[in-house]
Amino acid sequence: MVHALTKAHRVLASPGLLLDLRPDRDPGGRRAKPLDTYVVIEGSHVEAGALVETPSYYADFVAGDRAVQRVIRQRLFGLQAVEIFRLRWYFRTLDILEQTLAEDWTGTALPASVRRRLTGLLNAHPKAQIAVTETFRLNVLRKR
Amino acid sequence: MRGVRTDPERLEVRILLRHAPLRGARVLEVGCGDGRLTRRIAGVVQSLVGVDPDTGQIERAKRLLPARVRGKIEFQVGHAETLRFPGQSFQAVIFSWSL
Repeated sequence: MVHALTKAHRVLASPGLLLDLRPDRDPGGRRAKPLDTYVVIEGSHVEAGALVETPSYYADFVAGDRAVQRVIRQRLFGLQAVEIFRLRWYFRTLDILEQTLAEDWTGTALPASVRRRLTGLLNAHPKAQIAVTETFRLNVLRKR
Repeated sequence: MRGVRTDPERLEVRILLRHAPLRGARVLEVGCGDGRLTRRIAGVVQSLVGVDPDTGQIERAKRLLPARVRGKIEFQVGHAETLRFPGQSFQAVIFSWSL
């Protein structure tokens, strides 16, 4: 990751910006932030529980944080701004959410209790959809 | 994937543009995937090169790119660690969920 940031530093004009946009997982080095799931019923978000991540998936995000800190220490970049925000995904059905977890979000799992809760809510409200929110981070780094 | 909407509120792009003057800029997007973010900022940049190691994703990105921005957007299969561009080619580099 540090190598990728070093390559980016080379191709950037001076002064140029490196924008590091990715899930935010390790603000205090202690625990992951959950991916909360909701069922959206006529505009209202009803909480259904959180998805869980595998330790290795989580470790990748922590490694990204360390790589950014390292290139700042090396004075390749200066940290200009950080913004934390919640990004939302919407899934039309539970099948589509499960397919996404199987094919794309392979480091994330749907606990049985959350699946039961989603199923119950969707059975009661067949036109509802599922929302998943995830905390994201934008690091704005200026080339030195 | 059909049936999935990512950030329909476009919060991600609004925050990106709030912090980075991408209007009229030459931009490199590392980890562009199927070009979801690329398409959302294509209208403001001067030019953009999107790279991703997944050939299938790059093919999809090319297919989904609107005709009106095709002249200034380019997609390439590649890794962040092996970027082959001249020095100081870009005014902004975006790592899209790729660190």
